[in-house]
Amino acid sequence: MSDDPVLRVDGVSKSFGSVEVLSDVSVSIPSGSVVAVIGPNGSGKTTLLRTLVGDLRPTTGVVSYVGPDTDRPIGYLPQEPTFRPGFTAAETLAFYSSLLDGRDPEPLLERVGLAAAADRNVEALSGGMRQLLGIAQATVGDPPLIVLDEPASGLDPNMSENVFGTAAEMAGSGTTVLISSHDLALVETTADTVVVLDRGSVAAAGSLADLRERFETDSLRGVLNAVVGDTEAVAVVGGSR
Amino acid sequence: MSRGRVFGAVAWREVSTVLRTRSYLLLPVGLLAVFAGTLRAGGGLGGGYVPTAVDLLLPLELLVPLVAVALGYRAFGGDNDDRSVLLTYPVSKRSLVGGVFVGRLLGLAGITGLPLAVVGVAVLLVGGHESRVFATHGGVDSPVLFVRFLALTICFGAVVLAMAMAASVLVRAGRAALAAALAVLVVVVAGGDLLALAGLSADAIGDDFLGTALAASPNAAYRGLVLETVVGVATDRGAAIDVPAAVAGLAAWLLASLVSIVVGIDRRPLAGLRAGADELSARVAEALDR
Repeated sequence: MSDDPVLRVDGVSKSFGSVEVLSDVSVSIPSGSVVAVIGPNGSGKTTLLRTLVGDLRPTTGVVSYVGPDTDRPIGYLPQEPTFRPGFTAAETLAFYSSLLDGRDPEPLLERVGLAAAADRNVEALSGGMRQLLGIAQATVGDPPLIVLDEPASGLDPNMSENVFGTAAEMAGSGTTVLISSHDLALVETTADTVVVLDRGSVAAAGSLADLRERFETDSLRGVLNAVVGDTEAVAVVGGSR
Repeated sequence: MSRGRVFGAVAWREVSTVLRTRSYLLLPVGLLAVFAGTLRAGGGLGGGYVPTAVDLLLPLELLVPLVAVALGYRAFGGDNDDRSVLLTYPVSKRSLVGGVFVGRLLGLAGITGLPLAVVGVAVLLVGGHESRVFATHGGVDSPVLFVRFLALTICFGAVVLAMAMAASVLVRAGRAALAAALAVLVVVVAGGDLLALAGLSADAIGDDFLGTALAASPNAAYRGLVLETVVGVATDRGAAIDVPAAVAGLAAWLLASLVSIVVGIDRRPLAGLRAGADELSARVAEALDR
């Protein structure tokens, strides 16, 4: 992990109509690390990630990529990835690869354990396999920053562990991985930095050790409970409308 | 990575999508069946290329928009929508829109062009002696006129395809996108003619302006151009429409639709309208509560 950031977020707010989903979010993503964004449902994790990759424009504030100059600075796995029906997993990756250097997609499929399904049509892939294909897509072109929105969603525990392990490996080789997840145990074993979102604002951010010390608890769940309070109710930003 | 290669990759994915979608592949078969039935009833096949074009003109005014809407209304929706991912690649909006449009247009050209080409070959085989003449002057039935008819048909399809794609971008949600696409279909197939008729009835459009007014409607412009540059050439009876105005009308619809796609592709104009409407209704409710 390096102290140099790969992405800076300064005072970002995002509103949909009169509902403010993100409020004055400022955070710096250090390069070569795994950064996890956690928070209860409705806390704005997906909106934050979509704003960081440019899928949503912030209402106010600035997102600045300050990493190495490359054709694809940021790779992205959306929360619900879509794939063109009628194409195989290998063809799908080959298309995205053709937009960059046109490299053979097979190593990417091998990395996520999908090599055996390379010739299977995307509509015949299970939910978990689609998620893995989405992760492989996010790594096309070796972007310095990879943003994964709930990558473990729909995966069995072993595969979830595998995904987080892959993220840690990528971080070890200099890539920054930004993950949103509800799997606090995996976040705890993988993330270098944790950002806790609550009702659209950064409630806490820092290394795991820092957060545990600050909130006088020995687990990430304890940190989340201390920050969010009642975690049984869904946070509805902007009121009931 | 050059812009041309990105454009080519995007366009080729669209062509592949059309080729791999079974329901799209049934369309040329269906069109051929309709053409066969129409020509059997109208008897145009034995008369030559121009009578065949006249017989097919009316069905094509409905069928080409139908094919264009089928190809275009989900071009940027559902499983075809991976813009959130594509924007992390060096793909410009123009390359994306151009590639998707050209790829789908090639699909449309194949779906409508192949059955028409089969009809053209059939005319060659069963048509009269005149149908085998490649005429360079007016007054004679000729395969050249049928090729012109085919080209005009594909141009008409291109315009409606762009309009359906624009509807797909402006309205993302599945059912709403279908409704918007059907609205495009109704506007293209009947809207222009009905407006012109209403204008004539209300004396808002004079006889001398009718040819120009019709040019603003895509299907009336297509019909007029076919009557003027295909039928009129062989029969010396044209003046169905103001040709420059019809060409300008089709070009304007095409350009306006493509520009609206490029402008609207990373925005949510209707979502903004909805948010505005929600805010307005909330304020009204608030005012009524007071």
